[in-house]
Amino acid sequence: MLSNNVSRDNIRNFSIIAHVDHGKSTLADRILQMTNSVDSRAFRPQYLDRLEVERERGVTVKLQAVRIDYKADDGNCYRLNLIDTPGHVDFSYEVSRSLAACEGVLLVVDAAQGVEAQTVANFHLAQENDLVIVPVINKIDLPTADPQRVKDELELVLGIDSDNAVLVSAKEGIGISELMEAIVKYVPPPKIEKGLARGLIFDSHYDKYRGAIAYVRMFTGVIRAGSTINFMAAGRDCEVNEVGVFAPDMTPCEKLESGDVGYVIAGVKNIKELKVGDTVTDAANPALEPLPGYRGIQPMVYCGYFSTDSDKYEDLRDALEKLALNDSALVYEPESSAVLGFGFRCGFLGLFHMDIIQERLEREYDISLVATAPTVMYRVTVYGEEPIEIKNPSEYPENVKIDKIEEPFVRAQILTPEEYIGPVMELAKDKRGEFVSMDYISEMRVKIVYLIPLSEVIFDFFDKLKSCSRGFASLDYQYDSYRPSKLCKLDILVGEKKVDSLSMIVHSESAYHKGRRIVEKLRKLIPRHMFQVPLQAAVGSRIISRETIPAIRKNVTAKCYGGDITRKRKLLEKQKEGKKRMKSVGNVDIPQEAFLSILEVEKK
Amino acid sequence: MNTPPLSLYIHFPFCIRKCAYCDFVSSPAASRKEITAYINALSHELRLLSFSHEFRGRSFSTIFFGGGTPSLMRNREIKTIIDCVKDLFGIEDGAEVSIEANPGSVTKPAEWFSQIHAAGINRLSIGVQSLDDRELALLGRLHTSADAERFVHAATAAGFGAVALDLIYGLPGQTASHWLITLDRAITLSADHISIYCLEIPPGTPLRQSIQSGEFPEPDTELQADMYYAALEKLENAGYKRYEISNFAAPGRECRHNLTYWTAVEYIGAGLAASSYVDGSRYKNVSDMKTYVGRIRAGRLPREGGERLAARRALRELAVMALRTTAGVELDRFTDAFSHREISELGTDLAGLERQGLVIATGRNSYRLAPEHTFISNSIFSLIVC
Ligand SMILES: Nc1nc2c(ncn2[C@@H]2O[C@H](COP(=O)(O)OP(=O)(O)OP(=O)(O)O)[C@@H](O)[C@H]2O)c(=O)[nH]1
Ligand code: SF4
Ligand SMILES: [Mg+2]
Repeated sequence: MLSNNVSRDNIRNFSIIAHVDHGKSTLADRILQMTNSVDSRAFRPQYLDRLEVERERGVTVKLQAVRIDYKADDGNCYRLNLIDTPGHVDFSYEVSRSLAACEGVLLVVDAAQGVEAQTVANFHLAQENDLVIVPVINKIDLPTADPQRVKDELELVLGIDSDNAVLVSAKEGIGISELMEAIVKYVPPPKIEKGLARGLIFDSHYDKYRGAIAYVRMFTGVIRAGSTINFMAAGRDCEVNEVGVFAPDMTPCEKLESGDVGYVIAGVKNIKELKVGDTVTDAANPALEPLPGYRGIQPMVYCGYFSTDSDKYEDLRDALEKLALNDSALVYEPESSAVLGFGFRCGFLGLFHMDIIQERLEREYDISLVATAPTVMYRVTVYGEEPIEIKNPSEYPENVKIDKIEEPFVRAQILTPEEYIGPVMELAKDKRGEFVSMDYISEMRVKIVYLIPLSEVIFDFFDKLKSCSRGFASLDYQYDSYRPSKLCKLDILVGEKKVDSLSMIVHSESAYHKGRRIVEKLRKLIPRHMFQVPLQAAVGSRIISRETIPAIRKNVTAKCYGGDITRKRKLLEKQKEGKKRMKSVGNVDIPQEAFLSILEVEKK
Repeated sequence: MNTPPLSLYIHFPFCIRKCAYCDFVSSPAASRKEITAYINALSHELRLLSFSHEFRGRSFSTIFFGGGTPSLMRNREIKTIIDCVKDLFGIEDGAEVSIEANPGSVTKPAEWFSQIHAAGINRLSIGVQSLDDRELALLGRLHTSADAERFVHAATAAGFGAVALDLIYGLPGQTASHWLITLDRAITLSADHISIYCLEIPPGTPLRQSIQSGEFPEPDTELQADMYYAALEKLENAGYKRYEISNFAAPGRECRHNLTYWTAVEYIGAGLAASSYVDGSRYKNVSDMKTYVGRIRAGRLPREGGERLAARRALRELAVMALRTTAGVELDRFTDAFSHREISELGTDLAGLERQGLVIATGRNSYRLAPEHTFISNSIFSLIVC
């Protein structure tokens, strides 16, 4: 068991934050290595990216806490609790939760790319949390590195005094000792306040063998193994089986004291009772007030998840429940579809988030999914009634007079070299953006602000932005407001029957185009049947596009004699199996891929 | 004792040269010696089979020599086998004894035909395939259309009353009119049985490769369907009646042997890779020549394990086979072998297909495929298999 004896003054709790790919995880690698915190045989690059999805895609999607012991130049031993965070916009909730467990941040900026949209966004998050900011300019080994320009940008855009910025190359291991000294020097120790035990749950995960595990930052008091704790919001007492720290793997210790970052394993029966943002206290001697906790977050996009095998609904619910422990930005509620059966309407912070969740469900929980087209939440007002919120197009009120439909707009900040101002503005206009402002952040770069419908941003806006700026522009956005728009519901009919999970809410001007594309796509995806299958796209009762899948003409075994019988029977059984995997609407079998096809249509 | 009828299939796995579309168990023989050794093994296998108690006292009502190219067998060899079967089992009076014969595989057709006729063969199934020389070349067949016509004439001249012709349609680049010309010429040969097979081009065959490389176009399935229905009309006008998906015959001249496969009659397969259906189980012989000969030398049947399907699956398999025939399926025929529940469930499914117009009720508990859906029969069959 690890001893926990270190002076509270020698504790440093900090997060590494940055724009995506600026080198946070690589920098964490160097810190782990120089402090001998990982066995050299076990080491692998981006060590803290532990999820399969992270390793495969080379991107961090989870905060990762790790405890490090560091002997500083002053001869003292310091205990560092480092949290590596994701840089992608869709995972900014991970960043904000990490920050609540810290006193400082390393704000990492790529020496060649300079300040980008998430640099700004994450900087603001750190500021809101009153954290000390240590600017770190990384990748100085690159031939295109321009640390001076980056320093200027830091001053101009963020108003940071960049004289103290630490210059490093995480890749080459340059400047790491200087950085370690800067951490010890600038990041303050936790403020130790006397008081009853209070720890903030900033993250959690579900372990097959050990159940729900809470990641806790202690602010006051102590929690010991063997004691009973109380989850304050849930109002539930639980016995503590184990407390420990991430060193870097979960390592048990005797207690967690104020200022410490570690984990608590308590016999939580109902995993829904463990809520990130809740406060743990000592049940025998409970605190009166919980810690402030977290601001709840609103999903940006929603889609339906249905397990491909309709008997697996329970498994899907179980998996979502467990995964939500490790991803508190994921929300879900039961949904049912005439075509896909029982499933869940899930909310995400963006399409990348949605993609990652789907992949984690499939890999970590062995669930095979059909996801329906993502949509934002609309607000529809029927004459004389209160507005209703619609996060599933099939809930769109039919056959009533609609007074207005509103859609969410976001405030988008785009940072771009000035030569791409033209194409960027054209793109924003194309996406129904409303210009707000433009400022120079340095001699060559500008920040452009637009109000844009979220539905236009989530699909392909980012890809298009990258391609029109040769990769140089970056984007950050936050919810702004609901505003009225000209929207309508686009329905898809297969074999004259409306398919609820293929409906979508679209801007009136794009309805025709999108309807045609979906119908074309479906024509390729739906197999031929024994009869012809009409496909239609409709707005209300008006058919705006139509295609027909001709009837199949040939599906025959010409020769079937003694030796062929077994093989041919298996072939027929396989055809039957294939049909079973499809979803049927009337007599028509629709393959599962068809439900995803809308997404592709939206992306083009 | 009243034993159910039994059929025998004898496989001859040698050909002169592999055709371009063929993935059957057949290959050119290394030498005449290899063929002799095979015939030897075959007679031994028949002996081994005759020992097994299921066949004690049973005789055959049909025998079929298939291949490969069984017309490469010498008259003496054929006689040896037939005599062997007679001795070991017995051949019923009026039994149908067929052999497949390919034009171009026999040096003196007139002589050979009369010899095998004398040996006991009474039906010929001739691999004409096409009567268009360009198509025959594309298929990699060894004969020309003139060879095929002469071969058929020789067969009739030798006294064969039962002659069947095999034709293939739906070739890469073949037009409907080319196909109908072949068919017209085949009809003038006045055979009493014609089979028309839609060309299948299995992966790995030279023809498949030629299509992949772009030398030939992939056959158009729409056109194949048109060709099938056009042929159906032409053949029926010429007096042939369709009795199975691909088989047509003058009234009463159906191939009794092949009907056994579709009507749940038991059959024994002898020879390399041959299949048997006995007592509700399906067996298959090994398809490697060395293993085959080795097993028989060791006094063991060269079977590769048997498969006995669960009742529900077995019944549905039999129903599908029966639906290939125009006589269709008669559920009451299954009452001895299957439970009432299995049969009535199948009956419900079939009644459902009838409501959709996919099958036609021909009597109480009897159904046949709706003729206009023959060419998509697999789509219908897949609705009733397990
Ligand atoms: N040349 C150079 N490349 C670096 C340096 N640090 C990181 N990289 C590279 O930059 C890429 C991104 O590095 P990561 O450490 O995964 O970046 P990150 O900030 O953790 O990325 P996210 O977690 O996905 O936001 C990788 O290809 C690294 O090898 C550096 O100092 N120099
Ligand atoms: S003759 Fe028949 S078995 Fe022999 S290669 Fe040709 S198609 Fe195949
Ligand atoms: Mg990372």
